[in-house]
Amino acid sequence: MRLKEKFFPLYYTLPVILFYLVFLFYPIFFNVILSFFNWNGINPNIFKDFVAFENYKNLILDKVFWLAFRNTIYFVISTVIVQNLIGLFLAHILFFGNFKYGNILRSIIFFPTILSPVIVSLVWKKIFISDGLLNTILHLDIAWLGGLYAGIWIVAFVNIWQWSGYNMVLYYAGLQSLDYQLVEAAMIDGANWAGIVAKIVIPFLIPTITIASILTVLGGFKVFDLVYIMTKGGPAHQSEVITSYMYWLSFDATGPNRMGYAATVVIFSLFIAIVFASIRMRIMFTRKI
Amino acid sequence: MNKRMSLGGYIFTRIIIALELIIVLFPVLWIISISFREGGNVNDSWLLIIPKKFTFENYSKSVEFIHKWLGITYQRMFFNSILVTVISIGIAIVISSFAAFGFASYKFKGKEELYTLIIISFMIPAQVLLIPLFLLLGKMGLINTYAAVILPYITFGIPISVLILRGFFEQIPKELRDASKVDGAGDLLYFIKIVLPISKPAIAACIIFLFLQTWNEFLLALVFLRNDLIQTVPVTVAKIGGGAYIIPWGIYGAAIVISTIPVVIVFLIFQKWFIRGITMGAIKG
Amino acid sequence: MKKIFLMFLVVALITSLVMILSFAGCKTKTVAETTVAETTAAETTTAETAVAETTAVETTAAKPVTLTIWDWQNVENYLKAFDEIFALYKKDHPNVDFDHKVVTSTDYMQMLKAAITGNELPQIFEVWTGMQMADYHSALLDLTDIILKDPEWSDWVGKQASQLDVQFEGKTYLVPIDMWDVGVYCNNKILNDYSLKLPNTIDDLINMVPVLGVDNIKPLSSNFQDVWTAQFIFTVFIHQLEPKGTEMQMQAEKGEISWNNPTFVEACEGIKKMWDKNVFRKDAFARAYNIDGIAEFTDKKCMGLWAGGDWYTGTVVDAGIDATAIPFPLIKEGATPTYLASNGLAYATYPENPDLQVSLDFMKFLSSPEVSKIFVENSIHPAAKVPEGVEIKNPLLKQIISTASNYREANPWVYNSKVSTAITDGLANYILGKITVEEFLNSIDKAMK
Repeated sequence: MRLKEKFFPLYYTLPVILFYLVFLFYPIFFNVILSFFNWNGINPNIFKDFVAFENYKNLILDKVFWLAFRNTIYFVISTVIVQNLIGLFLAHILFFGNFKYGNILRSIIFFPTILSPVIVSLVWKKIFISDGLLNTILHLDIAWLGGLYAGIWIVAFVNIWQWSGYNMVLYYAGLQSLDYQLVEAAMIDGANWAGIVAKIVIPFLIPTITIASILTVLGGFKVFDLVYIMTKGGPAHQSEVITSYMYWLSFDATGPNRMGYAATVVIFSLFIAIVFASIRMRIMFTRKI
Repeated sequence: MNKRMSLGGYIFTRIIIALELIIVLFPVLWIISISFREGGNVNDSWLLIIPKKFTFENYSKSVEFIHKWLGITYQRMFFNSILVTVISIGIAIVISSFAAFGFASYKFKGKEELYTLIIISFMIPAQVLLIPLFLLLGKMGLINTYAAVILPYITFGIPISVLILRGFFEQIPKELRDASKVDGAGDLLYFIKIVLPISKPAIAACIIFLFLQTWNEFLLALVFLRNDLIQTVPVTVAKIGGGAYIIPWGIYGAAIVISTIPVVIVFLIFQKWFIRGITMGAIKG
Repeated sequence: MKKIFLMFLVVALITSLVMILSFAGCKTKTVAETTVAETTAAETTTAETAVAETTAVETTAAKPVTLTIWDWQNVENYLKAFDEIFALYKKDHPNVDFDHKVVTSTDYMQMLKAAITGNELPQIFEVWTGMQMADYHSALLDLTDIILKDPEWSDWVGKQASQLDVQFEGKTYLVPIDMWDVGVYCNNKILNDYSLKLPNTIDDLINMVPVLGVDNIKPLSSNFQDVWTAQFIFTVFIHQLEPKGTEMQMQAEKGEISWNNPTFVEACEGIKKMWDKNVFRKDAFARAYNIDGIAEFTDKKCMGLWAGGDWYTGTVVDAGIDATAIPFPLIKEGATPTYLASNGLAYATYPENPDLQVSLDFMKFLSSPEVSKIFVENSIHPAAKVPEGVEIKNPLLKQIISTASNYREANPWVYNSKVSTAITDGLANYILGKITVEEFLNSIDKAMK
């Protein structure tokens, strides 16, 4: 290989690499360094109080952190399952239902995806709050958002409301490349609908399902705006997720100002990010999409 | 393609879709309806949606409100968001298309590793970078300028565009490149003259993705843009909801509706592209 | 996979190197040098902004200065009062201009923290009194001597400037601007409509539940998401039960007495009783004070606004609500009525402030009788003495100012953030029935270790 050949690609990737170094890797590794210090975010001398691995030790012993982690997992798993099911179901119905205005219907169902999460959560909060729409029309007095257990599920519900259309669009696109004659042949053979879906359609969609699930997982670990606006992680951290816990530790007005410890939480979520991203990479490389 | 369906199936599918439409549209219509009600009370309506007393006052009040309390006008707020979004999307796509071309057309050491590294960052939440970025941008003297959010937004835009574009570039037939080499065109010329023009769908997909991501970004804009006059749409909306206690919900609803209108217009015009873009991003990824 | 992590490591090394280089200054210099370096850095940046904003900067006394002031008092009467104050100050100091930035309280702390770390502080800024002082004092200018050695200033605001909530370890860091006399605002119209009397004890509140419940009205506003609103009831009850409540809380915080003592247990049980009898809405912990609480009161969906202080007197009166201000209802007959009285809005400045003299002069001006008069006229209870002969127009404010001094004052602040967190989290868990009162109080003891 000639020298030019060897180094030429670098010119193409250089701007991206530069941006990454300055605005991504530098901040991340700043966080790594920070996680070894006890810094309250206020003291001008950031690197004054070196605590070695104490923050990591605290992280393992921190019940609230594991609560937040559990909630994140709940959120991710529930959104992945329900969003995919609804998406698949709707895509099937729209695809096989011979709708005259299918395009318009798809656009409407997709519509919530384009809304800002800030706006979505503010509207839904007004619906779920105890003197809000839902309790008023049903004449109930249920603490949807302020109870010990429901908070994270409500947040997951709103997320599902917003993103099901997205999954539907993905599956619909997948179905469009389905060879319809296969389905017709099966019908002639007398297969019932459930059988056709289970034996032909779902296997055909497996790659799309994988991709959609991974995208949902990735988005799920990033959830912040919804939790922050709807429950603020409360009460007593019962609906906290990792990102909102990190925010509370470092920035919240009544929080404990533990910037160094928050950096440790960041490192943990980064670790999860790397694990999932590697799984995604592995799938990509093996299937060569 | 004709799909046969029984009558039962026909009715069933219609019912399901009608239900779905109600679930999707209800909150949207409800907030629009609230914005037309005096005081914004839950009970002042028929079927929860149709207001008993129509009023457009909330809209004019909300214009007054944000001018008076937040020191910004709707025009300015949209201008800020458009400026930030257009510039960061533009730069992100230019540099990532180069990188994607590099990844698609060359073999070099550590290529896949570098690529993985770039894609991984798609998962990193913005708040992870908040404090270090603030310190960094402060040192650069960029806090309170548009650049303070544009630069991170470009970085956030890179992974998804590299992902989409690389996938697309790799599908371009090798013959095209060989042909251009015969014509004596260098790689760069080949990239600009041939690859980019035929990659319009992929670039459109990137734009859609980045548009949603950038336009709705909240946290960084909140912290880095402290000057009222340069704040973006989500920050202003959240401020109306989060701070001005005396504001009736009707005005708030009006503010939400007004600030969502541009996105809806963009969506209506580019509907097809949105759906195609989202699909492409996911399938290629 | 190995390769990816190897790559990651390499990039890690490079970026760490970049970072260490960029922070090398901080690491090698001694602390004193660092401060000097930072001071000059701060000076140059602020000077630059000043150049941009005012075009000419000279080191003479009358140089044009733009004082940037940050706070979160985004209520109409505060903004109006400050506009009047700025205009008044400009009369004598034509060279001073003001840039008053008001944001919401939740955004504010984040903004302030970022500004402190980024060395981009405004000349004058609000700091959360009490709870956060332990962390924030390191960034603030020690005002103890400046205020107390100035006989005039000390005469105006000396009493409030010596309160615990603007101090840390005996030093004053904040100039108190207004008072927080936290009681309960009761809606007279609702009381009349349902033929109820002003609540004297929490049992009166509990008895209101079924009466008001017919129309889905609650006796008290429900807004515990801003944790202090729940925590303050705890403090109020302690003071109602115990004459030396403040001392007791301080002792508990220092570890001299256990949190698990009969007085505190009784206070907790009082809150739990109110909660179980539905005095509050069940999702109170998802409702923010500034957004949901005040709206609930002005929409007439609750009889009483807790915690009502002078900062909402203007809002409540403007909303056309006829209200009476009372101390929090008693936990039991025979307890002492208590007002929570502490400092509200309080301004700080920082040592490297390039316009320190002008800033201090203005902060002193804020404590002056002229300004107090403006505050009172705009329904604000100033921390400085209210000059005699000023008529208080706002009926609610009048009530607060005249009655607050008749009751026992409670200072609600906890300094140690670990304690504060343990109280707020534990209290929520206890109220919602997840843990017992012993578990709650013991968890505070544990958190201190």
